Amino acid sequence: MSISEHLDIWAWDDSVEAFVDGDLSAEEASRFASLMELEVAVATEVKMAKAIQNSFRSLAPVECPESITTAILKKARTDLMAAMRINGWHAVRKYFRPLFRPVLAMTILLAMVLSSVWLGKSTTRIEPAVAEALNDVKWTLAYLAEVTRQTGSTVRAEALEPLVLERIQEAVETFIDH
Amino acid sequence: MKSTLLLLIFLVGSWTDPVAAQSSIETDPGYVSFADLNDIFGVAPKIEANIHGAILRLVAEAAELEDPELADLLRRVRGVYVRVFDLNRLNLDTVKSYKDRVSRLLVEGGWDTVIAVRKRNEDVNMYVRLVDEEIAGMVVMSINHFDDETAFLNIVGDIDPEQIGRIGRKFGASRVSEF
Repeated sequence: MSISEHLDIWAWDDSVEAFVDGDLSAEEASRFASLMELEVAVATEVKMAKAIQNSFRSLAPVECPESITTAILKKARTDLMAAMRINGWHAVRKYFRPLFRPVLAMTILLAMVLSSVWLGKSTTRIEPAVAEALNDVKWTLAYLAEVTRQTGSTVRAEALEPLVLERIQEAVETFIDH
Repeated sequence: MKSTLLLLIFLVGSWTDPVAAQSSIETDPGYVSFADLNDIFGVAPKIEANIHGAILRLVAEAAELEDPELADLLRRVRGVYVRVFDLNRLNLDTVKSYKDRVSRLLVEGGWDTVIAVRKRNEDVNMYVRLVDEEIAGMVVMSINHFDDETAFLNIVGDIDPEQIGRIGRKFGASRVSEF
């Protein structure tokens, strides 16, 4: 059984590519070189790979079609913007998340205060029964004030002045005369 | 949950049974019932006001906007009762008799006479009741022959007659007929 029969065909291809590209370590390269000496098929593959590599190097550089360049750049810009948006949102969340709850609470409180002020203004209308009772109270107080004013005048004119003040005046005059 | 419970307690606490309010005011030392008047006159009063309990508190709150001093007075008042009737030759003697009887009962019950004027066209009695040197109530009974009307007023609570006069004058004697 040859060595190549022990190797997985894809792994074997990879090893050939790596050997030709010089990507194997010194130990791996030494073992691969030993393998080439023992297995002709491997040596043939390596030779073919080197020939393909050399032929690619000798080709003139191929210009990428403008449409492809434009499409790739457009896709790259789109991806970049999406990444910036995601990063920006993360940054906003990171820096503003601790402030979110206090700001929300203040907003709700402000809304409640404003709505209560607004509702308070719109509901300052007094209920008819209360307005009528208030009117009755005002009438009562006005009536009391009027009654006391009238009776006060009567008491002053018909009791205080003739019965008290005039008698005091007479007593004082009598005292002075004597 | 806690705030809901507090709101419930507040609502239950602020709710007052009108019947209970009425019965409690009737035992107040400053309260005088003029319930007999409707039977004496045989008609409903021209003006009647029975303001106490929850409606009085609402009136006080309503007054706060336009007259804080009136609101302050009303917060210390527990009831305002008014009966005004038209006078005529048929009921004049009955009304005078009723007024004299109530006056006698008030004096016997410990009320102080503030004003008692009995003239041909003016018959006014004013009483106050003091409890622990504070006014508990005021009663005014007036028979006015100029306007052919009689009025019976009772204000229950810690009132200041000077304040009543001052606030009453703001509403104006000339405006009494407008109310």
